[in-house]
Amino acid sequence: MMSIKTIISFIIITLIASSAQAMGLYVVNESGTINIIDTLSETVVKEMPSGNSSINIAADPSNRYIVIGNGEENEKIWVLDIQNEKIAAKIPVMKGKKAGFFFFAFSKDSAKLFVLNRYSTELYIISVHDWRLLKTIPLNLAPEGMAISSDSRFLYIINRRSPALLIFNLDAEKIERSSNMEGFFSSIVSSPDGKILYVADKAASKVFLIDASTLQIIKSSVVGTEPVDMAITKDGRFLYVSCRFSYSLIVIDPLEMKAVANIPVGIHPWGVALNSDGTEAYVANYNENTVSVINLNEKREIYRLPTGKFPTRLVYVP
Amino acid sequence: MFLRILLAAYLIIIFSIDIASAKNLLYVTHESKEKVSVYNADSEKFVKNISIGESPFHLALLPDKKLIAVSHKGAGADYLKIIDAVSGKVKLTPSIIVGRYKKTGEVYLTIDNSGKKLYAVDSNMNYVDIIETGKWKLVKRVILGIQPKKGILSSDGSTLVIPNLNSGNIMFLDALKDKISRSIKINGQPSAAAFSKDGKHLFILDKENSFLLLIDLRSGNIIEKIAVGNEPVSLLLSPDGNTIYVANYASNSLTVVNAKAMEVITNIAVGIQPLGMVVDDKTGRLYVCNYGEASISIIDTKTNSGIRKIPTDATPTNLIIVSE
Repeated sequence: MMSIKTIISFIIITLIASSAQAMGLYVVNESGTINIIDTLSETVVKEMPSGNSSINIAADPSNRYIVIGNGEENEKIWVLDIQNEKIAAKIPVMKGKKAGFFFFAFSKDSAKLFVLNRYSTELYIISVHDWRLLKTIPLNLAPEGMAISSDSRFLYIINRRSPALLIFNLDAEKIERSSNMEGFFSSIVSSPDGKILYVADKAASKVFLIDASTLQIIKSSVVGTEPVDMAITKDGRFLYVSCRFSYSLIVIDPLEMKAVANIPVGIHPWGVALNSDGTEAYVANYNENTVSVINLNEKREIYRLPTGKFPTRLVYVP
Repeated sequence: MFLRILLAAYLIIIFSIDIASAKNLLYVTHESKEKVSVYNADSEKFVKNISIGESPFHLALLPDKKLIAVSHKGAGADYLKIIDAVSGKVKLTPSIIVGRYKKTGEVYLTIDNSGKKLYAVDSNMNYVDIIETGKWKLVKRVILGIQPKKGILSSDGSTLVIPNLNSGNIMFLDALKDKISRSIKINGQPSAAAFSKDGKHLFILDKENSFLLLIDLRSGNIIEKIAVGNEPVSLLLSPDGNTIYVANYASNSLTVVNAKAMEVITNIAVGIQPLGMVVDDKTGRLYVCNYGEASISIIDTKTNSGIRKIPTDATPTNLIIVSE
């Protein structure tokens, strides 16, 4: 009898353990695949199709779904069910052939997905519940990235035209405030408390610390050549900036706005992601088809894993 | 007829004045090309090539501005050649008949203020040869750490500081006694050094950890460190002592640092694998060799921005400006 109990409990444990397998790193490759990487065993577990010319990837806050933006003719956003490792939905947005250069932001309750595309002037609002396009709002912008406010009421958008940075009010559906800053902004992240925005300027090789309510620049820090992506730790103590043409990940103290370390990575780094406790960073090396895994305590690369062709961005799912 | 002669004479004078006033030359070593190439720094045009021998690596101008020492891999025992800057001819230095394992030409040259002593740090053999420049005779050989890099002299000429990349220490050579007097260990790979203008501090690049370190010379402690690019390999302090330029070999960029505040001012993209740098005090232009792409980037230090690139022959390693 005892042994049966033991076997049953063992089976249950195994089931729990296998259901927890979703944890890992998801890398999207521009060649049209995603890689699923198990960061514990340091192996690439799976490669699956993600649509032609797929560039961006994001996980919803409840970590059930991953959305991937691609350049397919009609269905440009694919939804991956993390648990089943299957494409759960394909959402038609933007007609015709355009690159899959999307920007995603989820509302904090995981109910809505906000979508911009580098080559579209519209904002798309998608219901996460049934993956239906709820609304298309014309913005007349040339977006380059976005972040969402902590109360999910505002989108902070960086723009290739003037204004270069603006706040979009999602309730009123209008531009709430715009900044008179000039620059070629490539990435935007918000501090964990939502009070500060960090904006990378790829022409000036700088990151700006900006007051999220007034859009005033408070401080700045010089980084490597052409910063392209950023990630901030949950406690807001470290900001990581990937620099495309200096082949490095810069570590910034985001309060002092001082670069505290430079970590060499692969060729033309792009996307940056952090694990849940902020002990590891992952950088997609676009022109090398690898991901650099960085130990953030030691501030050095510990290994490099092969990916599909042209890895662009990545997301870590706990 | 008379008018013609007058015109010809006039043209000759104009022409010769032009040549005489154009003496602002860049001398560049090309490691894979057995030569030093010469460019006019003002017109940015190629002037001539000077054959040196295998793997020319580093250059040093003597204070009289008439002679240039060039290190190279060497045939037989000789690894140093002297260029007569006026005639452009190369002299041999036969008196330096010392055995040397010929792996590369990576020998860094430093000349003292009087021009009487030349320090040749051999990065493969781990020693510095102290050479008397008049007779080009070896005076002494001092053993250093592992993979030493370019030695720099204090402004009073009393100390030569040598960073040892792979033993992680910075050695101080007493230039009067020709003896090692001090060593400072760091947790990393010191790749280049510079004294602060007041001589109280030392700037050190840590290639392994991408840092520019500030060391207090009295205590020997690191008092400040800031992050620069990947594999910082060479360091240049502006003539006024206020700005530091760091060449990041694996980031293809220069980091510009405010030397007083130890703060990064900006980051300038250059060519592939920047190495040797030189600044022209008069024009404020900085020249950097892009080892991996056969070019020299010109930087305007007033605006800290790149002006353009001069295409050169392959593998430029080091350069100097010779002006009158």
